Amino acid sequence: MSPASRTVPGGRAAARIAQWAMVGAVVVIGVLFPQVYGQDFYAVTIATECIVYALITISLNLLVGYGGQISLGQAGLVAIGGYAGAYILEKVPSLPFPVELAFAAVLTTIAGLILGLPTGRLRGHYLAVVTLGLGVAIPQIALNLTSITNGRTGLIVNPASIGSLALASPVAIYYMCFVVTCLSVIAIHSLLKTRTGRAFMAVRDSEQAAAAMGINVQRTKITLFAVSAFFAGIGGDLFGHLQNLVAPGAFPFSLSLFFLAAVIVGGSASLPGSVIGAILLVLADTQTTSLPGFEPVVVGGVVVLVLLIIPGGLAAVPATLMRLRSRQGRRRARTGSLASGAGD
Amino acid sequence: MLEVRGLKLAFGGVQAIDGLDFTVPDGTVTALIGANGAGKTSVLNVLSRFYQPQAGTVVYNGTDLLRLRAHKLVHAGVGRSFQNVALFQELPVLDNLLVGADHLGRTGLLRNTLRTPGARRHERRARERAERVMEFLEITDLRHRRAGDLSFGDRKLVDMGRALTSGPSLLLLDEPASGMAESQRDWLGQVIRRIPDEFGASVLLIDHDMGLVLGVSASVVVMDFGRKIAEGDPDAVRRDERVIAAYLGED
Repeated sequence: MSPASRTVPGGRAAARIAQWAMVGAVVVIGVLFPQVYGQDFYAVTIATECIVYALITISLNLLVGYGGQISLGQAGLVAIGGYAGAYILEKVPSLPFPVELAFAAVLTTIAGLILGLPTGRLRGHYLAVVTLGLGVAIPQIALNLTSITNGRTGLIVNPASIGSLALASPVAIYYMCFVVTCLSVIAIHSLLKTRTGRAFMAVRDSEQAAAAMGINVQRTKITLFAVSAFFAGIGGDLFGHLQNLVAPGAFPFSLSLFFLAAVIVGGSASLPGSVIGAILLVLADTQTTSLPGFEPVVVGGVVVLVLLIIPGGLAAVPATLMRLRSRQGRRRARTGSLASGAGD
Repeated sequence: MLEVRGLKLAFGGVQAIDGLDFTVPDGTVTALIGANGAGKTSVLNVLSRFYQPQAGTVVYNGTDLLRLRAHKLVHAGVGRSFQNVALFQELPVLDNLLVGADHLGRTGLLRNTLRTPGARRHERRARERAERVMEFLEITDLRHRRAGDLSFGDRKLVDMGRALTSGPSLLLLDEPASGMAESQRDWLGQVIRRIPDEFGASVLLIDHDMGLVLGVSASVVVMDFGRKIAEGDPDAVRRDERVIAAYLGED
């Protein structure tokens, strides 16, 4: 055993402080944003969109990044959440928001469970096709299930309410989405640090070793799909409130790809990465509204650009910088010692 | 005690294991040796339920292991390491070991998300186990390193550590010394010999490094072409003519 060959890279405490500082900054900016831009409804709506998309991207990252499964149909789950929330609000307009949210989440979780059952045995391309099928089928079902979904026109989403407080203004919707997303991220972060989260990642890295350590691989995958769907459902409900409307056209296949792109651009298996990836792509997307038809080109361009420069996604930027700096430091040390050697 | 009787395993026309009998008594290190292709790892993969044998029985302390699914073995007290190390390579070393201890936890999704006292208690206990194993294997300083970044020798130690953290009463080690430097092998031999006393586990050691095996094991089973050709204490095996002919080379 030579301890010298396995020195631990230092600065873990510093990295942790930096992490907390970053989280603090994000929360402060999130809380203060409407205070500064509250009059600019467009800005607030875009910011809300960033928040909702970030949550949905995280729900997909659970599946793709942490669980090693592929999904091309996350928009389908988002649609289920959106329709569930809109439908229950239509029936019971005074329903408290948390109940409405729970209803949407539970219904989407059931859909995720059903999706997870066969996918416990499927992987790779096969899984991609099955999830793609789900993503394409859900809007079609919504289109034809007119008694519940009102067909092509869709459902108007009534404002959420808590007691007598109606969350109807853009700023109210913003805060509603912000709080729900923050709580969801805390829950996910917490879950990932426990044996359930470790089981997700263990199955991702080696199914055989995971089984040898007592992990029921198939059940773990189904759980993963259910958890991902739960948060996609929450995101879907918020998505409905953000749009004021859920209709089949709001959940195209390209939306699923958008979330997948956000996961990859942000960096797989990184919660901050998903937040940054979602924000970046939403902002890129809003810049293209003057160029109708070019949205996918711009979003695709951003994806390619980021991956060319940082293959690990934006979450890998600090590590990449650190590696560059240490390499530079080493080079400097080497040239320094050479110089002093020459001086002798 | 692990009792293997009449074990047969064939892949197509190739008889990988051909009527193998052996036992691993409690509290000892037993070695299973043989040249490459003798069928050692196949035996281990049968014992850990990755392969289904065509015939034979595998009974551990009264439990018929062949009736269990792979992920239930660890609950029966059987832990294993992998010849080609199958670590959770994106996870830090500590988390690799924690996964080993995770089957001891009883908290589910909800309690874990809410971090109830039960969930936290499991985390604490798992950490204590992992710390003890890391200290035993002298890998404590690797704790925060990503497992995939380690040298092959260190990865083998983490693999073994993960199996040890699962708290087995029978530990199956698949070529733990391969990829290690000579000096490290001697150290590892001593470590393996201490496992029964330190962790209360018997060990089935598979290796082709004779020096390691003969120095560590109380008894040795020698395989050749899927059959057992010798069994006994290291000295007897060393002198066995068939073993010399088949495996040690005639010199």
